[in-house]
Amino acid sequence: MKVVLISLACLALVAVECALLRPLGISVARADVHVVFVLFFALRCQTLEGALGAFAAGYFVDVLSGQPSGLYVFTSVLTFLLARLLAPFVDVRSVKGFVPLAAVIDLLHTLAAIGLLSLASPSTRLGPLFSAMWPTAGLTMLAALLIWPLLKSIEGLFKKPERGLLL
Amino acid sequence: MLGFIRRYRDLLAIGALLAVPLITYLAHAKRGRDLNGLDRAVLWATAPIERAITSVVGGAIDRQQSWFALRGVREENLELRRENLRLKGEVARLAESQEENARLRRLLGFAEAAPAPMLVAPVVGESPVLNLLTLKVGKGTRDGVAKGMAVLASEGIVGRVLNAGPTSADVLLLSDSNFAVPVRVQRSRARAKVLGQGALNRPALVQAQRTEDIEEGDILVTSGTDGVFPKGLVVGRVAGVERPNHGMFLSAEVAPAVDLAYPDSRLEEVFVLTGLPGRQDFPEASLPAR
Repeated sequence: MKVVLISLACLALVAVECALLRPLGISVARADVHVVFVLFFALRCQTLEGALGAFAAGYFVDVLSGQPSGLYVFTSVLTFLLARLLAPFVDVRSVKGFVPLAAVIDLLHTLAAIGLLSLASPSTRLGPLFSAMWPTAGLTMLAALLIWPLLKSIEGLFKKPERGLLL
Repeated sequence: MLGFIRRYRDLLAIGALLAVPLITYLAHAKRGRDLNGLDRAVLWATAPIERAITSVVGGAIDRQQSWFALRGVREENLELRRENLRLKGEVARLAESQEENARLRRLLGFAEAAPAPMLVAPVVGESPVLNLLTLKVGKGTRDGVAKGMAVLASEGIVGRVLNAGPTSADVLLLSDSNFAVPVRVQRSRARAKVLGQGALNRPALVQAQRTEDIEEGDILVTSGTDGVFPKGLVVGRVAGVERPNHGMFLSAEVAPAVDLAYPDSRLEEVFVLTGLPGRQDFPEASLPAR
């Protein structure tokens, strides 16, 4: 249930991002909002349910951006696994660890997407994607900072109260 | 066998979650996306969010701009009155020319081409990823929008419909590197093709022979040979022509007639040509190869 709710929040925020890009005048880079959710799935959920959440997040981006099916679904699940591998080496219990890790994971996600694009379509111009990589990671850090309280509050809804010693 | 599956259930499931999208993507990357029921449901669910935000943010920006605009409104009013008078004169002159044109056409026996039906669609969003430059418009299949239809603004062409959901549609922009449109130079009628080059670069003029009469500032119009855009729509102006000493083709940039790059772009509504059938099957060369 937690994963479903977080996935729906991801869908809503990706849709919000779509609508806000033009009025905010952001044209050379985008915040990878879904990567923040994928990272949260990797850190706070069990492996299978987290992977399903990452799959859903990637699917939403595919649909809302008009991409051919599969590109961001694959990169999201792959990013989920990479984040899962990196997680033990970083203290991510607070936002201080979460935000920088979101940037690192976003860079890996972008590299995975570029790799897959060049594999499927060697003629694609990759230069603009490489040059947008760093600003995108920066914006994703900002998004992670803003989304963290939302994710924590959703997680809080599903926390069972711990019993005291005397109960 | 069952024991093996039960033991490695999670690993197998994650392997499937990786393999299925990868295979789907590699198989369909060059054919584009055909929206299924679930895709349509997602688009249907998110369309109100996007529309509401666009309306709220757009309204706030309008109010702010109106407040600033009030400061110079008196001078602007006078200027507009003068311009109005001038335009009235021009409209009268154009009406006269139109009458004359219609008379000459009748004389020559040409049938007046009926204008294609168009639909006004509000721009409600933009692609959240950079590798596919699309706009989201607030009209979909329920309004008669279909994949492949041409999308225009009053200044010229904007792109064409990439996917259409029930209440919204994605428009592949002229600036995207997967966009191509055959054109003619309005002045010399030389033929070429305009190819998008991504968000950071201007579209390129390609397949124009080195010996063709093409100069900087020439207006490019659609040739109408692709079956998507009608003949004669403005695409942009030629900029920076380079004629190499060797090879068959010259190279040039194109300044699009419609400013598509934010923050300069003021595109709020577009026209979708619903009268023309559009292309349901994109040719491979002009497809988003992603």
